[in-house]
Amino acid sequence: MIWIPVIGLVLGVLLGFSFNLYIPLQYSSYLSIAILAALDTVFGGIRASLEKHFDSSVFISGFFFNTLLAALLAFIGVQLGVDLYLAAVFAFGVRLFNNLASIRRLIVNRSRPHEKNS
Amino acid sequence: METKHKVSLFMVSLLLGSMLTVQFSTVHRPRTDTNVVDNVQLNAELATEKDRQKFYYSEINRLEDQVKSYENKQGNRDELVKAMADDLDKVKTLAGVKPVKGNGIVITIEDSFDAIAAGGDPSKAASLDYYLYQLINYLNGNEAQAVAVDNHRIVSLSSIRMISQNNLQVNAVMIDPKSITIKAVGNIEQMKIGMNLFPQFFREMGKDFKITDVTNGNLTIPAYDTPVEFKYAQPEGDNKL
Repeated sequence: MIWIPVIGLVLGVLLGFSFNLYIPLQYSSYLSIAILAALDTVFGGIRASLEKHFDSSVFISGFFFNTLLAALLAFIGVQLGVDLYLAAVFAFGVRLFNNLASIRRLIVNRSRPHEKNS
Repeated sequence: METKHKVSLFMVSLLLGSMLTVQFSTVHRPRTDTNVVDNVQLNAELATEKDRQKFYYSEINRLEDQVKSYENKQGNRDELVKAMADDLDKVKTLAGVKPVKGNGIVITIEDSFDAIAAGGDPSKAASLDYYLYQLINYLNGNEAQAVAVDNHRIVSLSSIRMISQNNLQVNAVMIDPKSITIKAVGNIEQMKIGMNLFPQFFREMGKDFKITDVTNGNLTIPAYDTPVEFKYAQPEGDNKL
């Protein structure tokens, strides 16, 4: 199951490189925040699927909502002269590590009965 | 896990992968628009700089010879006066207060019904003075050595002002903005390259832009003839002019 996002990610990277897309440099900071939000959502989705309460509508809406909100927050921050993107970096960074920690714990817990049996 | 869930996870990961690549490509994209220049351009610049250096060396030699000749002619007053008059002549030519002639181009900018019919807007001619200044700037930047607008020599003290829609002032003299003739003596090909952008600007004002080459060496640029009283500036080191 964990291979699905990995395959998707690899294919996405290959697609991106084959089309050689780029955005104006001044918008790259917004995209970086959006990527952080997207990463958080994807890891959240992996965690939910491991915990067996994955909901695709929550996942899809979360992906787009978080991504756009993060980019918007960064944009508003630039307009107001306040580093609001730091709030997004902090919030999504903490969530990302929480999700990763949960995924790690779930995988470790799942592997334990196997070890006992073998 | 349902297939629908797998598909959504896969699609979102695919999108994330693409976003990562776009960001990576953007950040690592070579900045071709600013500092990157190719070898051809560098070689051309190097050749220009070498020419310039050669010219400066020849100027140094010429000036050294001149100093020597002054020193030698100190005993002969007539020869000294003649040498100084020659130098004054050269300085006048450089300052634009002496007529010059040579090969060059004649640019005519005239009101045109065809340009208006093609979408040109005569009301945009309010900024005609700005574009004329730009044009002269581009001529000077492309090896023009003397420029005149409607036979008014352009020098460092020249002014071009749009007084009203029908009145253009060059060197404080009114000229008709409906038909303007600009003469420039210099490197014909180089000046024409510098003029590439301008036909479009003037067509947008409803004006026709034509360039004629003069290669018989008889294109005459008159001298700057407006009297100048130096009230506010004086050579450094002098107490009074």
